Amino acid sequence: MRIWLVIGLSLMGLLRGANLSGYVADRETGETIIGVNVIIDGSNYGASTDRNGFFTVTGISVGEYTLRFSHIAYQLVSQKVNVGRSDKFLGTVLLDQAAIQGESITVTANRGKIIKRDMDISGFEVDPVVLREVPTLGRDVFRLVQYSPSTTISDPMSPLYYVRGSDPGENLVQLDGMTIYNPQHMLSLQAIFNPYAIKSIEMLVGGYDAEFGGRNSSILYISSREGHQDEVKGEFKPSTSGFKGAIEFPVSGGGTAMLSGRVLTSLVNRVLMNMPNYMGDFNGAWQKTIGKTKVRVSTFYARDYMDYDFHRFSIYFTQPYMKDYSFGFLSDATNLALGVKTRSILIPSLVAETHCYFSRFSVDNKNFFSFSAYDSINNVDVVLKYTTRIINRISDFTTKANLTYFTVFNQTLKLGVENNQYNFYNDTGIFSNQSSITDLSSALLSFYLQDKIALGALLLKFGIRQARFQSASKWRSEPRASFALKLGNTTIKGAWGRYHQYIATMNTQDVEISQYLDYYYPLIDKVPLTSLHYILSMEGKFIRQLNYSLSAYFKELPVLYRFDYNSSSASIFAYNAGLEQGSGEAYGAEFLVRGNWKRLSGWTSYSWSRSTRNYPSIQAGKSFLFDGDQTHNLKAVLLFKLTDDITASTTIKITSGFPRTWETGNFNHYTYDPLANSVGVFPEPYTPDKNNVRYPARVAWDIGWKKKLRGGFGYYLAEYIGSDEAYFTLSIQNLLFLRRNPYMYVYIPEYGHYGFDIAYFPMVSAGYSIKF
Amino acid sequence: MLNRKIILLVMLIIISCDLPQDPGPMPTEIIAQKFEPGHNVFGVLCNDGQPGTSFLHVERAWETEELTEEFDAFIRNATVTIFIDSAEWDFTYMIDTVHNEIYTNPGFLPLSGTEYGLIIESPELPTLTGTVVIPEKPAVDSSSIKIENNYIKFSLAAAGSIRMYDIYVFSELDVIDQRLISNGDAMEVKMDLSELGGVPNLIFIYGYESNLAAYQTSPSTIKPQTYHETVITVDGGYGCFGAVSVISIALD
Repeated sequence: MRIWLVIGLSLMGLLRGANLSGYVADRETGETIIGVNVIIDGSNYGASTDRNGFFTVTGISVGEYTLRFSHIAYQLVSQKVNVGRSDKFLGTVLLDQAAIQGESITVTANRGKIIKRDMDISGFEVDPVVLREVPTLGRDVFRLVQYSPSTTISDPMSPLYYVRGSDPGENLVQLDGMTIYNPQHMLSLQAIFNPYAIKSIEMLVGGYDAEFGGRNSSILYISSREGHQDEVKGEFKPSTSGFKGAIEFPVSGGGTAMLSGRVLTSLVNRVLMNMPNYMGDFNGAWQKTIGKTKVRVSTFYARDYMDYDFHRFSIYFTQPYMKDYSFGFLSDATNLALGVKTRSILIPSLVAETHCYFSRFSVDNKNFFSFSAYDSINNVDVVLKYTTRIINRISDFTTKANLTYFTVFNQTLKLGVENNQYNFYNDTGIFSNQSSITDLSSALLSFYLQDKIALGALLLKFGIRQARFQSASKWRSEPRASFALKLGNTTIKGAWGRYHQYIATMNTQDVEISQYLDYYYPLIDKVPLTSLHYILSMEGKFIRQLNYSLSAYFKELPVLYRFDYNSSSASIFAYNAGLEQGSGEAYGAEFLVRGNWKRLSGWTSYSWSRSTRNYPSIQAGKSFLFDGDQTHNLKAVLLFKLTDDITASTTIKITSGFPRTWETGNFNHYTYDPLANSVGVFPEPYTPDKNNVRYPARVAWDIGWKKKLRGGFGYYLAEYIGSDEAYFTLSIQNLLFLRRNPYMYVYIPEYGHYGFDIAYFPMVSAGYSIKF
Repeated sequence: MLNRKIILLVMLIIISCDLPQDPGPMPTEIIAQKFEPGHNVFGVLCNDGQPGTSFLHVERAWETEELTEEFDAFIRNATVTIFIDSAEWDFTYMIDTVHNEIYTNPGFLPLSGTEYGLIIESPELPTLTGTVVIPEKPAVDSSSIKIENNYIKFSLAAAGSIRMYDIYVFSELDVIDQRLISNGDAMEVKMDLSELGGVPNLIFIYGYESNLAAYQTSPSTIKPQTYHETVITVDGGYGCFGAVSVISIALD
């Protein structure tokens, strides 16, 4: 078998030119560099490094060449190479950092230029330096993601985001290739990734390769740093609410490691309101190169705990009615992941990757509201009692492997296999329903083949993914195809693909105070969630450093699910008895401009979109607006380099309001006490039409300021403890605080509806950080 | 002149703002489905062997803007009739200490397996109708009742007309309860006695037919402007017309 493989590979090698491959890394830190252009001098022919810092220049004829390695943040390197008939592995090419003025300008603005993600048709890539330079983003990945033209939201109190009209549960988030379930903190509504630990952020919002499966809407791929090879480096940021820190260092034996962590608590809530709360997250990574194999161990842990009962606030009030209510939530969530990944250059044109990881998420989430009062007119006790409690857990043990082969006709073939062993535990009780428990195990086995062919200015990709959920079920195919045609400075791209998802999530937005996470269910014996993407886009340059992209998409959503709360009473929460199948569609257009002009850099976008759903039990199957439908979105993230030490920044979002369900009437709902043969009542809105109104447009404008300290206490403190740099940051959020962004209306008798905003005043925050 | 400009600018800003005491901007694009006036009823025909324990609450639905501190939805002048093919019973308005305001008939005693109809009429509201079949009484094999390891266990016999059970176990000091959803098949019951605080001496079992089971387990929401499906088991109005059958078992 092995002999035939060698013979086959050799024959294919004779049919094409040689391949040159290698890694590119930072000389000082040893960190591999993404997006380095590797060009054969005197031509436009070359490649760019991928998220592993790896490149392959394919099909080179015999001869002597000069390779140019260029990156905006590094000094240009040229290297002479003699190319024979056989492939050549160049090892690791080291680049020296360039002396740049203000990384925010030079790096972020040119990100679109320095990365040539040749075929990722709907990508949104941002250097994590943006998180550090724009204080109003709160150093949070999810806040950054919300400035992508493809995302919308439906609840300003929730970190969940919608991508091109699909459900948040259809977004896949991976850290170093490990799927992280519910990667957000409730307390801060932030992602659970420490920005210091992040090396790159890549978001694919549709038309992605067969390599990615199991989610139908988007892929958020986060790569963490690999660690410093020579010194101990890091960052420490104390604050009144906790601390954030990270450290990277060499490990004996030639390895590198990185550790980071954040622990935060709200002292105001803890001290004044006696509400225990904390959140923390920790990342660790160790990496070592053994011969031509890189081994990487990644680990991750996050915990959220909150016990909020606003009844405890009543100690500050004397009114008796304040004593007779209870309102709040108790949430306890844990997230952990551990994985080992290897990447081997078997021969210069053949790369093998293996990955084995365990990822687990569990949450015990309780919302409650109770109020009792005596109705002196009707002579009855009015009792409002409302509780939801959802215990949900998902465990995912994944093993996957792939082979990438750079072969004839400038083709890149990728063949992979992935096996996910899942366990789902669910214990849900909503309202008066007692909970019921589900504990199910299932397996998803997938194979995929992806082929990329470069034909001059035309690049083609074809892929197919075959998957089977549960051994007894049938294999299902997910074909995918895309193209990119370069015409001068303009590139036309198109993609089509079929996507299946075998895990559904439960939408509790209408029953929980705020749905800040997803609850997962397996679609055993069901047709999987299905999505078909049709995408066409055009990319180019306005001027040298100003890029644009215009994308149009249509998503057909023939199979969707919702939990029909009424279909079979309490047992619906047990598993799929209450799953109702429906359909939908989403379409839209997005326009993005990014780059830099003099001292200004960043991006701005406008998008128009529409997304609808149909379910038999809602409005007799009539189409209704999807929860995440925000028709117009105008967004901007702009940085202005005032001096070499000061960066001013601003973020702006002007969007359509959310669709919501406006009640057409009200009536009392009755609760029955069989022992006393009596009833209790509480008022309930009547909502025959879902999402029949649109809230007012939303406007958010924040500004930020970051200054490198050259003197004063902060500078001398940093100098005293031996750190390299110290920074002061200032952000003012909600500048337009007098312009209301209602997220909820409450009817006040004899007054009318009053729209509540989350933030009524500007929020000013200042920070101090030191780097060492 | 400059001062006037500043004053004008400040005034312009203020009048264009949504100050905290203002209601704020209102939603647009309202797809108004007209409010449909109607009775809102909650009727329970109680098959417990005692006449007069069945009752109905009769109210009306209302538009949000009607809500005032003095608002009262109860309808006291409705004509409420329960009927079968061969007989009918008028339920009349009364006030009692348990239910406060209800409609009831002191002689009415529903029978298992019988379908009862309901008609409610009152001025200016559409007529409400409904039907319910009284469920069979829950049945327990007395030999199956066992108290072991601080648990009480017993078997509920198959009962095709029962969709939900509420089970109460009493001691002299306290009571514990359990709700079970049923598809009509026989069921095993197991209840933890650790919180009962005494020796169990009495069991009450309530079996609900489908209307009352669906209504009682329907979720609701306290969040304004959120969609939830409303369970209505009557025609021409809102609410539920259901039935429950009850048994009690004394333990030695």
